[in-house]
Amino acid sequence: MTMREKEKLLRTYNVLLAEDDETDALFARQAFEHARAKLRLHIVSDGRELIKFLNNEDDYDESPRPNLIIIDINMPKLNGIETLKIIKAPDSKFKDIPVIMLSGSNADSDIRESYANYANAYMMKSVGFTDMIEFINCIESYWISKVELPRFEEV
Amino acid sequence: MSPETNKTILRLEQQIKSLQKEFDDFAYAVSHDVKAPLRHILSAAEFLKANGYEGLSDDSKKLIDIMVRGSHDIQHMMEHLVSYSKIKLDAGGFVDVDLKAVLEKVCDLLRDEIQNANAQINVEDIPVVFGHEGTLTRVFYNLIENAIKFSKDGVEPVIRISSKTYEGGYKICVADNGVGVKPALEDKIFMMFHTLNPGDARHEGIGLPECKKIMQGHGGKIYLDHTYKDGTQFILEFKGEEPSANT
Repeated sequence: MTMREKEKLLRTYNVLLAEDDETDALFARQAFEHARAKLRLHIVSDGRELIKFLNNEDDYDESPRPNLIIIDINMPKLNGIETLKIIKAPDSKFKDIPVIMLSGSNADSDIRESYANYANAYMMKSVGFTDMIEFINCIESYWISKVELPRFEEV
Repeated sequence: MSPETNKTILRLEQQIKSLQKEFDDFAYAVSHDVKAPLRHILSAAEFLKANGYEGLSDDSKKLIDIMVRGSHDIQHMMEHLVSYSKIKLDAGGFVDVDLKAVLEKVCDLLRDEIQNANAQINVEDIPVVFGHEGTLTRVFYNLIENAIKFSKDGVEPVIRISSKTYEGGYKICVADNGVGVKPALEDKIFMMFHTLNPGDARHEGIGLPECKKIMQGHGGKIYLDHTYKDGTQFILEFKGEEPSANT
């Protein structure tokens, strides 16, 4: 194993989830705990909060730069697609962070709109606790283990 | 056309549109609004199953299992309802559809099922029909899948697809050598969620209601042939002249 690989193993990854449904958020937190993933989960309740988190505004002055963003497509205030557009705008500082769109439906229009606005993946919302743990393991094995993400902190 | 007739047509058109809208809203509510609480129940039940389940009494375990299974069943049914509601046929988009090619595709999609059951599918001379390829593919997919699923124990399924003309149109016949449909159930097979295997949610009947809706969208119909005794035979009836096969 190379040092870089070892270092990758030791790192924790910050995942930012925007989810307005409190119950879903609760289960997400429990599932992340249960999966014992190397992912540190941060949850915000809507798109506006997500943008504040990224910009370290208000109460988020100590929030880390996430390695991965997961957005529920149906949210009040700033909805999923609008939030995605802000993150992926040409002059955005955050456009290199992979964004996974989550939705309860597989409506073609939602899927098309997400990718047209540079979403990195579109996934169906987990349908239960077991499914959610599988989702987390899948995220970890793909986005963390297999994929090389850009690094910002010095080693 | 008299002005009255014209008015009536317009009124009926509006009525159809508003009914369609009502149905779409209903399907949307089912798929979106019901999904969230259902997901919560399922998550809660599965969470209990993953945390502390072993320490519970047998009865409590059973109750949690019932919640998990029940939520999964509702979820399956909702997916079917939504997919059923999404079938929309616009005669304006109809084209000549070569049913031979459709059946080849269906056999491709069902390759595993056909191989596992060692099923034989005999396609005789069948015509090109005027319609919608995607939904017609679904009709034959459902019928052949059913024919394989409901085969007699120990008998390899043989499915025969043939056609004949009748005054006013042509019929496609899909016959199998399976268990057949009990006379008492004949009226129910085209109803949603009726199943020949109660208790098995994965078998819940949506295939035949889908076929019915699609055939109606083609101005035709589907029915069971009562005279056929060697299994099940469905007749698909298309109205109008058979389009020429050499287009």
